[in-house]
Amino acid sequence: MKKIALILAMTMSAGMFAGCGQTAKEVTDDGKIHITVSDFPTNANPDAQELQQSEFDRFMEANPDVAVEGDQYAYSVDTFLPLVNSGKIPTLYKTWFTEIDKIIDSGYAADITAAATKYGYDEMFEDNIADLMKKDGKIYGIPNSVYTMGLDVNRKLFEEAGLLDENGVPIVPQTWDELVQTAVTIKQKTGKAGFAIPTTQNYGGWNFMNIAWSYGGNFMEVRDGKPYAIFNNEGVIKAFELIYDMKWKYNVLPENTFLSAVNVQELFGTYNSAMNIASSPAGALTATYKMSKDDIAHFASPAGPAGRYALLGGEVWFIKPDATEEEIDACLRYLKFKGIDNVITESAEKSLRESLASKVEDEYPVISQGMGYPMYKLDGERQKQINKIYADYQNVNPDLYNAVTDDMIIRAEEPYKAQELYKVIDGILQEILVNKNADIPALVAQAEKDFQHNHFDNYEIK
Amino acid sequence: MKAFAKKSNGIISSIELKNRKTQILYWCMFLICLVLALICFLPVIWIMFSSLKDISEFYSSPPTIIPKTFQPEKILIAWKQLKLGSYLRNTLIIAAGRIIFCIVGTGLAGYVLSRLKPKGTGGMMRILLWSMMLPGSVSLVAGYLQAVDFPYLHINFTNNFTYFWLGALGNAYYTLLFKSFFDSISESLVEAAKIDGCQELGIFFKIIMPLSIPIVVVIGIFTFNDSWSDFLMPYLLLKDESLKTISQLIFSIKMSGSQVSQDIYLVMVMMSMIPPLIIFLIFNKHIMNGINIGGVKG
Amino acid sequence: MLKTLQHTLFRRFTDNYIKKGTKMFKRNFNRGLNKSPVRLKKVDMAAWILCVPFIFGLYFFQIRPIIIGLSYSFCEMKGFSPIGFAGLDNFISVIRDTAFIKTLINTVMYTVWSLVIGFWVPIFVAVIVNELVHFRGTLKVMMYLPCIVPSLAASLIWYFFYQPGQAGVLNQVILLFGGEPQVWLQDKNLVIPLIIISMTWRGFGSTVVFYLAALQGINQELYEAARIDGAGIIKRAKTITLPHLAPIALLMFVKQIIGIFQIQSEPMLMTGGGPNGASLSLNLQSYYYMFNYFQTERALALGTITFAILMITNIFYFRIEKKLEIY
Repeated sequence: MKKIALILAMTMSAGMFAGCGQTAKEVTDDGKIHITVSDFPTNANPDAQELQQSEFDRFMEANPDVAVEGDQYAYSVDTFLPLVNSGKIPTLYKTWFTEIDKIIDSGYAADITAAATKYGYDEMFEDNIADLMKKDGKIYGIPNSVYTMGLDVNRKLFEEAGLLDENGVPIVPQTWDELVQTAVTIKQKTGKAGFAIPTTQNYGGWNFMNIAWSYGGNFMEVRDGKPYAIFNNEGVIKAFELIYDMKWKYNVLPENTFLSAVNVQELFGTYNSAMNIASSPAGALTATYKMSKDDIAHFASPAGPAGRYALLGGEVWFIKPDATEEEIDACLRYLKFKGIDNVITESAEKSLRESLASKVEDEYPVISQGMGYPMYKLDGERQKQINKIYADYQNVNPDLYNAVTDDMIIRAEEPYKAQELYKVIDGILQEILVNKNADIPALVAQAEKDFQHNHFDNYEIK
Repeated sequence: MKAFAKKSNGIISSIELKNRKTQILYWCMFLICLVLALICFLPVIWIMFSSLKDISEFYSSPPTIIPKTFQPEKILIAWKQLKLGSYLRNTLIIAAGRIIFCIVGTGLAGYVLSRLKPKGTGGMMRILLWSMMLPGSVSLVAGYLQAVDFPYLHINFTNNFTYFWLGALGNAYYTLLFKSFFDSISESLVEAAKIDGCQELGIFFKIIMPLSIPIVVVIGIFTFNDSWSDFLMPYLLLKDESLKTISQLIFSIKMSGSQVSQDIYLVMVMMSMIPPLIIFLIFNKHIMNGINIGGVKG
Repeated sequence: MLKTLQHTLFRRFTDNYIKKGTKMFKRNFNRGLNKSPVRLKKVDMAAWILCVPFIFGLYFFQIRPIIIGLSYSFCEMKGFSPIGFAGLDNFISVIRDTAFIKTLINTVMYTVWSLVIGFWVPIFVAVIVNELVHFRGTLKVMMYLPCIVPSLAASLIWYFFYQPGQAGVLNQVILLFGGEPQVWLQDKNLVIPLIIISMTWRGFGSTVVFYLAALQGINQELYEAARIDGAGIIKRAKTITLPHLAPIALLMFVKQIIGIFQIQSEPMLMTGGGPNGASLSLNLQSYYYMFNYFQTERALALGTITFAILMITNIFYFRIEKKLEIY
């Protein structure tokens, strides 16, 4: 019996490990440089996959020494850390401007100064964009695109509230006070929320910046090489009071307060809210919520007493920290091929045309939204070229898109601990939206004190 | 009241139930239980019907509690659009593997601790009791680290179900359940078999195994439910879309807001409940009895 | 200077601890060897080999991650890898955070509420279900049903139930009876008990079945004797039923503390820790430290604090349990 038991145990343990042994992936050594690129479309979207794959194929044709493969990884805060620690992050991955500081500081992006200089990326971008990509004079990232925050407008709800002009274009509020009045009208006429602001997953703070700045609010300043939290000021308090009034005085916000950016999008896309701050109308509006493309409009966000501010955001490409020189080189070649360049190359034009055609097919609004914020130094020429291509596919009324105004002041995110700041603002927003007796000045003062204590007291600018 | 006369256990005896006052008390207790049972039951039903409302009814304000529309075809739409089949299949494969590994690992250990009792059994029991109570609040990092580079073997378990299966081997609680079950098997049966000339291994397969089917089923179902609910480790380890599990999908949509409308999302949540429900309905007698086995000894 | 001192202290402490631990283990192990340390016989070896898969699983999937997690909490971390010794810095940094005390209180409140709501309900229900003669099986199955709903799905169901305004299911029910719609999870004072209610909903069925099993073990004659002695229903419940349930109730009590003190995914899914941190728990904060801000060392330090608190609870449990002698 005991002998049999012994044998049984041994075979079982042996079988267990034999099963695992086969899992190691064989790397084929074909002499090529292998790179993987994030944001490959998911299986739910086979058309987009085909499109992306064809771009890869064309690139590999032009660069036979590189093998590029798509990875369905799309940056998300929750999964990034484990992936990058296990080396499973794609060679070339895309993330948001908000993450730049955190990622470079933690050493999760490769220093690409040499290769970037080789391909002219060191002098291609506008100075303040280029600065975002740098730390201590070294280049870590290549910007993919930039945007400024504007105001999404639900044309149908404006129509129901009688807020269209004779051409069928929404009468857009130009100041925050006007926005409140517009929201009140919409609420009265349609019963739907006039305005929606997210309050979770740090989206609240991200949205709130636009409002606070336009009321003259400021959040931090640097003295003697150290950052200080200074958000206990009138502008910030005024901006919070605006949101407070929207809820408790005018009641134009949605009933649910815990909203992420996606929830806000959903409210908008299902015609349950008329306005919100957004970078640009999301693809989900038409694809997921079946919103009609002609009901979507996008304008500059309203102005406050201190002017009309818009937060500058964007997407950036990073390369994984342990990439070899060859891999970095191949990645940058791919980005150049893809169209991140001063001029629109033939290959980039082809990719752009293909993607626009598929957008038109999906009933997604296609329109060139003007220059926006210039990313490239030679943006004028480039934009003209792009506008020409867009014109062939435009499928909506251009009057519904006017996100750039002359008086707009474009401002990048706060430079230090922006995500932590957004979280604190999320908290205050939640508090004032659920608590009618909230004491805004006290909340802001306490938050400033806590923030200074938790994040800045021991902070050194690197 | 015939049913009252037959009552044979509990604090209130059948004699007392002839009393009118006690009867009122009894029916009050019955009512409390009924209300509680409905509270348990109705939300599950609600999600089934609510998710199958037509989309315009789903988003209409105010919503309807009792749905006017019923569109079972939405299951098909969700199934196709999100390729739910693949997610459910993966979850099932993980669960099935975990059940096998769990029963082999804990079953053998329970058998050893109960019938073979090698030297050191007492110490092992102490370790088991303690490890049942260990909080896992710091395990995530090391758990993930060893999943991507397993100590000594240097295997990377990303995109691999084996890690989840191996994880089922060492459950202290189920080992104790097995042990107390094996303890309850009468020694005289074993003795009788020995007299009939049965070998030790023969005893294991002819006597112990057939008698153990109830506990195997129960632990299998417990493992199935644990495995079905698990989402964090799969979320961190399974990156390939074709390997992801249903719970992981539901979690990642909630966290990062992939583009799925709420009604389809609810259909997904409902679909994730159906396999455990089916298994429960088939085996519910076993589960109730199984808990009896474990309950006596804690 | 301070660092090196801390380091040596830490080393001495761990060395000492490991030595003591090994000694303790050996002693316990030997106790099984009839109190005389003799060499393991071949027969015993074979039996232990059958346990190899189990011991492998227990060590690698339960014990080792805890040991490593605890020791890393004293380290400076880069991502998931330790790069240096940090002494108590991580702990000081998390305790210094202004949110710490609030989070700790929240976590305690979760536990308290879960004991208030979740501890008595199953005992009460089990005792009365045990009295029923009508539809007992069906009621039991219905009560057990939520236990098989995956925890994720359960949180989401309740998330929909607790929606404020007209969209919420519970508010619809309230409106039906002519009440005022509530804001549910957005109420700072209600958010914790409401999350606990949703968890109790999911968990109490299986606990009820556990208690029912224990109730089956009560000797019926005890009740008879007590009745004849003139003890009323309540008195019988007090003197016979409850004492009989005490050991298993104690186990459930401790298990519940351990479980709820580590609450994380429910508030994460339902409120994200809001409103304004009112439902943030230690473990959820630890999750946010790790995944949202890449501060693994702070996440681990917070985890270690949770661990320490619960181990103290455990020690108390085993003390009391010894007196009750369940095993």
